Amino acid sequence: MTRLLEVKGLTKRFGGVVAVNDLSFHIEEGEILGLMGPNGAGKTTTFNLIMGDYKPDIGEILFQGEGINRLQTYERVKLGIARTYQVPRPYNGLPIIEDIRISTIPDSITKCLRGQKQELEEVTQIGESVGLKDRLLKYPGELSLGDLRRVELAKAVALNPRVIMLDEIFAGLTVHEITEISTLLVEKRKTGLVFIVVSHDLKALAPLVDRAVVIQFGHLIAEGTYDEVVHNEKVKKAYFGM
Amino acid sequence: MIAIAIQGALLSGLYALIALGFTMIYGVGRVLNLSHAAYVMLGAYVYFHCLQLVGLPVGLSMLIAIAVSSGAALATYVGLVRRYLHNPTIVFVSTFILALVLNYVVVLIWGMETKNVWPVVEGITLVMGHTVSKNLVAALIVSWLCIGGVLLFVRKTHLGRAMRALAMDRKGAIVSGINPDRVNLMTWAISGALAGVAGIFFGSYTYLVPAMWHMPMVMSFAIVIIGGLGSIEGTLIAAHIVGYMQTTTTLAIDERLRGVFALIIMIVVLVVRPKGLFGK
Amino acid sequence: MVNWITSIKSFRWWLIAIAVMSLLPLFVPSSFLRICIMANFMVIFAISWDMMSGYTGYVSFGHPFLIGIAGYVTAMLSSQGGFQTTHIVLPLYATMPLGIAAAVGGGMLFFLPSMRIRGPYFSLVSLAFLMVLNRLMIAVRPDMTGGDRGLTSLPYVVTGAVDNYWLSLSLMFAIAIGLWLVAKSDVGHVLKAIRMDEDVVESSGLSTYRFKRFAFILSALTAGIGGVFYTHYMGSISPSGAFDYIFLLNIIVSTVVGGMGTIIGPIFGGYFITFFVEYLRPVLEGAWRFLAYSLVALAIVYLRPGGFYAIAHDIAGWFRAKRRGGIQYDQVT
Repeated sequence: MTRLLEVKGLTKRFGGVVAVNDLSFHIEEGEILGLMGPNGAGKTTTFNLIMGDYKPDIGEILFQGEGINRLQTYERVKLGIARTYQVPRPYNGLPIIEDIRISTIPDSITKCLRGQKQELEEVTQIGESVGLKDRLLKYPGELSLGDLRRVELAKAVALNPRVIMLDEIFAGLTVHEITEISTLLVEKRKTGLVFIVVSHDLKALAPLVDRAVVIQFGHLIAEGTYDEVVHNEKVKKAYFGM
Repeated sequence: MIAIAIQGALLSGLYALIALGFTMIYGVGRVLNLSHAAYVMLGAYVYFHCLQLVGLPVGLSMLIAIAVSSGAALATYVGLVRRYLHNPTIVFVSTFILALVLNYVVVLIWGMETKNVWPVVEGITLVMGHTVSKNLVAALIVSWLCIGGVLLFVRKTHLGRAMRALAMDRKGAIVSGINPDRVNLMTWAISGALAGVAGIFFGSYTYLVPAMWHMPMVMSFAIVIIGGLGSIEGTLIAAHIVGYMQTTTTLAIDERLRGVFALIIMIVVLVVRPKGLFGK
Repeated sequence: MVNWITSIKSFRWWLIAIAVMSLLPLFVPSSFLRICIMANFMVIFAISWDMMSGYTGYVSFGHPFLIGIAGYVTAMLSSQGGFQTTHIVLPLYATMPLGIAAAVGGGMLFFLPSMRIRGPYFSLVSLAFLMVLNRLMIAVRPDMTGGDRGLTSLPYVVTGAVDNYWLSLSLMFAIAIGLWLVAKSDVGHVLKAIRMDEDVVESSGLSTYRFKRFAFILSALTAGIGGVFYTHYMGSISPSGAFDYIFLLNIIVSTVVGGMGTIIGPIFGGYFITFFVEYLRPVLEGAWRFLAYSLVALAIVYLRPGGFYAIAHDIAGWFRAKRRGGIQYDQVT
C-alpha cells in the first residue's frame, strides 16, 4: 500500500501559540482517513499547511513520496491535492455551475484563449453526481448549507484530484443531509478518490472512515481504526475530559 | 545635523498622527480610505479660515478644525464606504474620487495660492544649542500627546479593546458581541480628528496649498507598508523611519528627490517582507 | 478562436457600431469630430485600465504613468526637443514601438513586484508612484524632457480632423474588440473570479499571479499604444498633461461611469465624460467643472456601481420581464 500523502514532524507556531506540534500521519491509496480532534486542535491549520497557505516552521509534506514543501498552492493542486473549506466560499456573483466550471479551467493562458466551453457537459455531470441536479443554475444565496457543501465537493472533484481534504463537511447539517453526503463519499471512493475527512462529530464519521488519527493541541494522540480510536482512553479524555 | 534631528522628530510625529488614523481604519474595517490625507488639508484650511479670516481665538479655531475633519471622516464612512465594506475595489475608487472632490472644494473656496498660517506659539527657543521655533516644539508636544492618547485609548478603554479585537479576528469579535458598525464609526471619527490635528500643525509648519496632502498621502502609504497594515506599533516606528528619511533627503541631499526614497523603500519592503515590521 | 458560433452573433453589434461611427464624418463638422477623437482616445485609456483594474480588482492608480512613459519616449526620440546633446531624431515607426515597449517594460519593472502580494499594496504603490513621478518629471533632466513645459512640435502620424478621426476610431475598435475577446474567454472568467475571491481561485489549481500578470501586460500594452498615438495627435506632451491626477480621474471616471469590468461600458463612459466635459466648458470654469463631473461619478459609483452597463442591463431585463410577465434568471455573464 503506497503512501499517497504524508506529513512528518509538522510544526507551526503563530506568535506564542503552537497550532501544530510535531504532527506525523499519512494516508494510503484507497482509504478514507478521519482527522479528528476537539475544537481548536489544529485540524484546519494542518489542512492549510498541506495546501500551502502557510509554511511550516519544521516538518515535511510528501505527496507520492516527493517533498512538496517548496511548491505553491496552485502547484500542489495540480499535483492532485484538493480541499474544501469549512465555511463554503462560493463566488457570490456566479451561478454554481459556473463556479464549478472554474475548477476545470486549465492553468494556461493560451489554452484559455483558445476556448473550451464544451466543459459544460462535464461540469453538469459532476454537479449531478453530488446531488445538485436541478439547482445548477442557482446562485449561492439561494442554496442551503448542505447544498453549498455539495458545491464545495463538486469543485474539488472537478479538479480531478487524487486526494480530497474535506474540512468539517458535516458541520451544521441535518442527520438526513449527513447520511446523504456520507453515502456520496463512499460512492466517490469507488472511483479511486481518497479522502481525508476532518470532523469533530464522531458519529458522522463512524460509517465512513477506515482509519482515524486524533490530534489534540496540534499533536497526534491516537491512531488506528475507528473503533480502536474511539475507545482509546486519551481520546475520550480529550473529547469528554474524563 | 541637529536641525535634521529636530525637524525629523516633528515630521515623524505629524506623519505618525496621519498614518495612525489610516492604519486603524484598515485594522478595524479592512478598507483603506484614500481620502484620509485630504482631511489633513481640510483641517488646515478650516483652522486658517477660523483663525485668520474670521478672527476666532486659537483654541476655538482648533476645535472647529478638528470637528470638521472628524465629521468629514464620519460622513465618508456613513455616506460612502459603509455600504461597500466588502468590496475594496469600490472603496478605493470612490474614496480616491472623494479626495479629489475635497481638493477642488478647497480650491474653489480658498483659491490655489499658497497661504501662510500664523504659528500657534510665537517666538523661538533654544534646543540643544540650536534655535528652534516654539511652534515646532509645541507641535511636537501636541503630536505626542495625541499619540499617547490614542495608545492609552486602545489599551485601556472598552472601545479601544473592541477595536483591537476586531482587528485581530473579525468573526470572533462579532460573535463576542462587539458591534462592528459602532466601532467603525468611532474609529473613523478618531482618525479624522487626528488628521485634523496634523493639518493644523502642518499648516503652521510649512504653508497651505491645496496640493498639501499629496506628500503626506504617499508617506502614509509607505509608513503603513513598512510598519505593517493594521499595526499601531509598526506605524509609530515606520513613521520615524520615513520622517527621518525625508528630512535627511530634503535638508542634506536634494529637495526634489523628496518622495523617491519612500517609494523605493516601499517596493523593497513589499518584495522582501510584504507584511512589514508588524503586519497582520 | 473562442467559440466562433456565439461570438458571430455578438459581432454583429460591433459591425453596426463600426459602420455607424465610420460614417460620422459625413454628417458632422470637424469641430465635433475633434471632440470624438478625444473621446476615442479616452475610451482606449479607459478600456486599457478596465482590463486590469476592472477585471482583477487590483485598482491601478498608475495608469497615467504607463501612458506618459510611452508618450515621453516617443516624443523624446522623434523630435529635436529631446536628447539635445545627442541629436537623435528617429522616425515614428521606430519611436512609437519603443514608446510602447517602455510602457510595458516600465510597468512590469515597477508595478509587478507589488502585484504578487494579495491586498491593497499594488494600488498603494501605483498611486505613490504617480505622485512622486509628477514631481520628478519636472525636476529631472529638463533638457531632455522639456521640464514643466514639456515637449512640443512633435511630428504627426496623420493630419486633419477626418483622418485622425478614422485613425483613432480604428485603434479604438481594434483594442476594444481584442480586449473584449480576451475578456469573454476563460481568461476573463478567471480574472473576474480573482476579483471575487483570489484564494479560492488559487485553490482551483490556477496560478493567479500568471493571470494577473497577463492582464497587466495587456493593460500596459494598450495604454502604451494609446499613449504614443495620442502624443503624436496632440503634437506635444507635458508633465501636467501626462502624469496628472485629472488625467487619472478622467480615466477612472470614464470606466466607472461606463461600468467596471465590462470593456464595453468604458466605451460609453469615455464618450459620455468627454462630451460632458466639453459641453460644461462654456458653462462652468476650471475647478467647478471637475467638481461637477467628480460628483456625478461619485453618485454613480455609490448608487449603481455597475455603471451604464449595469443600468442598461437593468432596463433590458425590465423590458424582458414585462413582455414575458415572469421572473427571469440572469444570463451568465
